[in-house]
Amino acid sequence: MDLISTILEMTIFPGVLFVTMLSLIYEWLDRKIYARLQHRYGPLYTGPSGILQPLADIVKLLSKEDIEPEVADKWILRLTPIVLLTLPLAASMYIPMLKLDRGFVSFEGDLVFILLLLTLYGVCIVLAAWASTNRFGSIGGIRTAIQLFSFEIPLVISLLAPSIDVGTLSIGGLILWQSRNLPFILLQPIGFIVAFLCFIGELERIPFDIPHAETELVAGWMTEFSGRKLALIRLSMDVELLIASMLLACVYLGGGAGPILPPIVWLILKSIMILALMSNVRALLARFRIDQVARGAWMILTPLALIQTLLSATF
Amino acid sequence: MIDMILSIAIPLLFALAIYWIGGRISAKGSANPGKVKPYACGEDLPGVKSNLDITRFYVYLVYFMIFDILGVILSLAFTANPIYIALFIAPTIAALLFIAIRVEDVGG
Repeated sequence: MDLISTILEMTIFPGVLFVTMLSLIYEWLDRKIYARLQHRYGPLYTGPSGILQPLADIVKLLSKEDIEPEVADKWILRLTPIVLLTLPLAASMYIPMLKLDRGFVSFEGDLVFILLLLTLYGVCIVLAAWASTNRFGSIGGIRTAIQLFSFEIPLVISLLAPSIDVGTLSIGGLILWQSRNLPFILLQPIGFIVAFLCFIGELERIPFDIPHAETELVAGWMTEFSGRKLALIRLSMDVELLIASMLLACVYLGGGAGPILPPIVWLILKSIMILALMSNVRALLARFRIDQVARGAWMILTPLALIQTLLSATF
Repeated sequence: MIDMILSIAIPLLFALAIYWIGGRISAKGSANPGKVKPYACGEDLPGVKSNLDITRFYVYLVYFMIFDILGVILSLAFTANPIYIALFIAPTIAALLFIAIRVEDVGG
C-alpha cells in the first residue's frame, strides 16, 4: 500500500506530471517576460494569455513526421532524447518540494547526485550530436563539450561552498540551516553570481547559447532531430530550466523556508524570481564567442568560486 | 533503495510513453531519397561520424581532471577543519593566476 502511494505520488503530484506541467508554465513565463522586455506580446492566443502555447508546441511536434537520416546511428539517435528527458525529471525527485527538508528521495549527498545527473545531460548531448552524422550537429556537439568543460568546475565549487560552511551535503540540510540563519545569497553573494552564470551556460541560454547558435549552425546539435524526438528534447530543456532555478533557489535562497505559506509555494515563488532574472539576462545581452566563454569561465569564474570558498571557509 | 530505483524508473517510463504516443499519432510521410539525407543547407555533404581532434582538447581535459579532483576533495572535506580547506585552495588560486598571466592561449 505504501509502495503504491509512493508510485502514485511520484507519477502525479508532486512527481513527474506536476513537474512537467510546471516546467511548461515556466517556459511560458520566460517567453512572456522576454517578449515584454522587447516590446512584444509573446504567446497570446492558446489559452488565457497564451499559457497553453508551450503545451501546444509539444503536441504539434509529436504529430509531425519523424525523419531519421540514412547514415545516422539509429539506436543512439532514438535513445538519447528519452534519456535527455529522464535525467532532469529524475533530478526533480531529489529537490525538496512538499516537505521543507526532504524530497521524495533524499540522502546525505543528494546535492552531488543532482550535479551528476546535470553533467550526464551534457554528455548525452555530445553523444546525440555525434550519432546524428550531421556537420552542423557535430560542431554543435563539440561546442557543447567545450562549454561543459568550462562551466562544470565553477558550478560544482560554487554549489559546494555553502555545504562546506554548514557541514552537510544534503539539500534539505542546507535549507534547514538557512531557515534558522540568513539565506546564502546574503552570506556568499559572489558564489550566487557564479552559480547563476554557470547555470545559464549549462542550460545553453543567451548569452551562452553557442552550441545551437541559429545564425551560425542552423539548430546546432539538434539539427537532425525532428518530430517526437524534438518534442522530447524541448520538454527536457524546459524541465532542466525548472530544475536549475529550483536548485539555485534551494541552495542560495532558502528553498521552501518562509512564513505562512506552505514550502512548495515559497519554492515556486523564489525559483520564478531566478527565472525572471535569467530572462532579463537573456533579453539584455548578445551571444559570446566560444573562446571568450572558455577563457572567461576558466580565468574569471573559477578563481571567483575558489575565492568565495576560501572566504567562507576562513571567516 | 527502492525509492532511488523508482526515481529513475518512473521518469524513464514517462519519457518512453511520450515517445510511444508520438509514434502513434505522428504523420507517416512517403519514402523519399532526398529526405533521409543529412541536412546540409543545399550543399552536397555526405553524413559522416566526425572524428574529434583530441589534441585540441588535451589541455582542456588535463585542466578539467585536475579541477574535478579538487571538486571531489572539497565535497569530501565538508566536515574538515576550515584551515585545511583554505590551505588546499590557496595554491590552486595561485596556480590559476599563474596560468592567466603566463599562458596566452588556454582558450584554444
